[in-house]
Amino acid sequence: MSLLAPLFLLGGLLVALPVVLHLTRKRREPVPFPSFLLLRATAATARWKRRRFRHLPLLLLRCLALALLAAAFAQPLLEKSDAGGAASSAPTDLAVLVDRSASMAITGRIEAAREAAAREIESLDRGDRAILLSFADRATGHSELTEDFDALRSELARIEPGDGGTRVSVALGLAARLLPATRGRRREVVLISDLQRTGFEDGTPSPSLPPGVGLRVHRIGAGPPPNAGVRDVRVSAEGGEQIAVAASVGFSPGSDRASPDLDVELVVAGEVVDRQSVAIDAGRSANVRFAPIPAPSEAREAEVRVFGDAFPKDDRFRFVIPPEAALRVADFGESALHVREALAVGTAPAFAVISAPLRGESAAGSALSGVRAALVRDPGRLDTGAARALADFVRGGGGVIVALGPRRMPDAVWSELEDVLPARPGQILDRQPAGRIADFDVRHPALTPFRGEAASALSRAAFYRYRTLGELAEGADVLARFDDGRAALLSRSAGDGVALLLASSLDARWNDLPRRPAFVPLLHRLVEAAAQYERLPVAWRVGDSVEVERAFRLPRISPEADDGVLVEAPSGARSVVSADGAFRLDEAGYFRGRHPESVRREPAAANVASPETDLRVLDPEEVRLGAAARDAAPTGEGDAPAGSGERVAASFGTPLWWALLAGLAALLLAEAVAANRLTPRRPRDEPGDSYTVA
Amino acid sequence: MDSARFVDPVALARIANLSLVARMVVQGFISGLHRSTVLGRSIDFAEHRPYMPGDDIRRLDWRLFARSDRFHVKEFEADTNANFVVAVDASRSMDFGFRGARKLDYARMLAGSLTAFSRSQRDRVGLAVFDSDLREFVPPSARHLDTVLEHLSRTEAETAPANDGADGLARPLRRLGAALGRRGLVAVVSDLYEPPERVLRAFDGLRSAGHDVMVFHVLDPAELDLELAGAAGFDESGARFRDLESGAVLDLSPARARSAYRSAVDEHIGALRSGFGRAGVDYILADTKTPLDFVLFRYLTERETRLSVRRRTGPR
Repeated sequence: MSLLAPLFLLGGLLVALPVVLHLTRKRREPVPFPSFLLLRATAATARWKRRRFRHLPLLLLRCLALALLAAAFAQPLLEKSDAGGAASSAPTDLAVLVDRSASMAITGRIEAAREAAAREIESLDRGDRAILLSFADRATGHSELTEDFDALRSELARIEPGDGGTRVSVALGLAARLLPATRGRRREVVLISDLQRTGFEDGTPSPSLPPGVGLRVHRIGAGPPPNAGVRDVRVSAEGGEQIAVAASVGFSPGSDRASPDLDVELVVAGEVVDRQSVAIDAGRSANVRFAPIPAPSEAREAEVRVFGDAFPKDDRFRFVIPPEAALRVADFGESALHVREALAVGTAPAFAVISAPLRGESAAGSALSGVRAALVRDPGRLDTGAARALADFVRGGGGVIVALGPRRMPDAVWSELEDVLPARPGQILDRQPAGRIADFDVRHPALTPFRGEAASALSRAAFYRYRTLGELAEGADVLARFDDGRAALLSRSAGDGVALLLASSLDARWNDLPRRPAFVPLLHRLVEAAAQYERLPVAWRVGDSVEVERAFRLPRISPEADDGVLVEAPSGARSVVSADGAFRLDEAGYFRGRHPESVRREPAAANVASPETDLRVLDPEEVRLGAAARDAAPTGEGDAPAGSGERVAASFGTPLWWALLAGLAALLLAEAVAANRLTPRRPRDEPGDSYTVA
Repeated sequence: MDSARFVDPVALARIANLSLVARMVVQGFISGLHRSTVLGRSIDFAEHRPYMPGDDIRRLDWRLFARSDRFHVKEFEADTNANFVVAVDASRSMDFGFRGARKLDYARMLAGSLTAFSRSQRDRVGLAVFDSDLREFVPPSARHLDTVLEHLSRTEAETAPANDGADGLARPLRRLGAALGRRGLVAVVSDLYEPPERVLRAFDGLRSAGHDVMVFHVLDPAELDLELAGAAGFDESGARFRDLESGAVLDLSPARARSAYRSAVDEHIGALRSGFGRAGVDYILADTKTPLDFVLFRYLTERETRLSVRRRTGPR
């Protein structure tokens, strides 16, 4: 018998508790008696020796109950011997499951796995059959269930570590399904893996095999080797013309040794542009900020890399520096310094603010050329032409943020903007005391930064004056409301563009918003939301499924013109994916994609699955017990138990475990009864009790 | 006798006013008597005895002299204004009560009842409280009923452990005998935890001084049968006992000791009863659940019987 959680046996020390209690419990007071004159005469025959332990049966019951409780939590594993030798001598169907996840690229691991698999195949006898599978985050069959072991060996040599993560339970499930339940044949799965903890959901093996399928586990590699890697990279604009790259590098959890210094390189388009050396403690990570580089005019492949350890897969972090010019914003009317300054601090994205005229359709239209979003403060100042240009701009895919002001919007202007704005501005409303934003939709991209505790940053802003808003246009949404219930911020999709309407101003005359810390993030997010800017990652992970246009930052094309996107994997494999479709990144490196009519191929970087960098492992016995079927007894007709014997674990929730708990409950009940009986009670004298007089 | 008429001593013990208790018991007792022949106290003729030098010549029976030519003196049964002293044992062993009233409470109530009853017969009443020595003494007097009851209600068991050198009842009774001048009736209420021969010897002094002595042997029912189930720390299989007198402890198995203990109790009581009988001392055994008026009735019945015998057997 073994234990699944032997540490719980320490709970058995609780047995000492009742022993101590029985020893230290206050002794009973002596019974007072008037005189020993007559009592002493009986001492010769009735002498009673006071025991050290009182109520010994009760003590034993209590100790037994606590011992049983500790045993139940330790989850004993009972091993039944085979019913006979016949079962173990039955022919075997064996599924050999070899881990080919990224972590198996650690020096020597895949070779050891192949050797272990070969030994398993060698050990098979005539009449046995085997099937070879490999797995990472998906399982792949390399053969049918066959007796041709030579074919299996040749297939085995082709198994190489990939870049994917580890999903053991999926692979075990597939292996078990490929072993048919046949009368008189044993079914067994051999798992050959480095048993990374992250390969199991929540780091704990879950039952993955059906009853009747045995499991043996070979662990490759002893534990996590010293491993440094690049965890993440961030790219941000630096002063409009430059790009800043920062990387997070560090050692894997559980790494027990580390070199004090780590050399980190930034490589752009194949050339090393910066190199830095950082000192990192074992198990820690550090941020490395490289010297800014010029913003590229087109997407550039880049990587950050470290050197020298046993696991090379996470030593390179590939990413793409997007050709992201600053997001251009047209600010209508005279320039407002606080707005320009607030937008100037944006780095991801950076904002470029240009001034746009308040009058003239052509002037306004030309100012809006190449602009992603427009900012209109006090729209009453617009003339009809500028308003018309603005409306066309929105319908054509641009975004506008309208902050109301003191001037009333003329009807002619409103008639131009009516199809775009979410509501017509109404009368000016003064608030004394100041109004606050009481309710807002944090799900909207513009207000996401004010989720949770950050909500107070927005709700503290005081609004002394704002305009009432008329009836909401079709498709308009209220994103925020003042504490009097009136709308504060509205949104409306018009054509391909978006219009946002703020009921108050963006200067400090109608509110104190510009003086609040919330102003800068709010303005950034408003512009991004109006411009329908999407924050795309600079790198993806192997195993991710991504939309093809997002992955390669391709311009959107109409469905009618969709001839698909040509995707080329790092290994050179090519495929055509619908422009609105998605594809799976199944290897690390640079994927490239282009529209058929385009010459330029846009890159997308994929890196080894993030959980693979955590090289901590599980114990093979834990995996075997956890992943095996709950009910170890064979159920299928003709099934034979696998292995040398059947093991029944009293793990949580199993019948054996419940039986232990039932025994515990019975003991506690017996203890209660015994304690009740052993506690003396003073009898009441009946009124008619006899008395003595002589 | 209808026992339902009697008042439970445990209930009586809850009444703090001992005077009230004593009068209640006595009045209830008297009202239950149908006749009072044994109460003749005036000048009922008892016996003649030969004249001895020093006898009052006024008590000579001249008629008998005329017939027999010998001097005889008349004696009467109940002298008025006889002395009655009740002696209450207040040793530590009396501070025990388990199934009945506390023994000391019972003894106080019994003493009070006897005193009140005697006073109703116009006797002079007095009190002695003793443990290993005579602790308090109220000389008999026709005006001392309230004093006696007052002393009784303040009486508590001694607090110090018994002196090893103490000689039990002998010393206090000896001192009591010395304190009592005139012959009278002495009622001793005690649990008599001493070897019977020493108990009997202790009463010799009182008897030889001519006192009429009666002994009320007060015991808790638990002392008679060792049934202490329910007492804190008591276990049938084994328990540690503490001697109230000396503080000594003794580990015993009550289940095994009970039979021998009951035999010892029976033997002890038997020895006392026979010894007192021989010495002419009235002996009443009462457990603390026995109603007080029932004890009084039994006492008077016994006494009547004994006096009748005494009358028939001639002068002492």
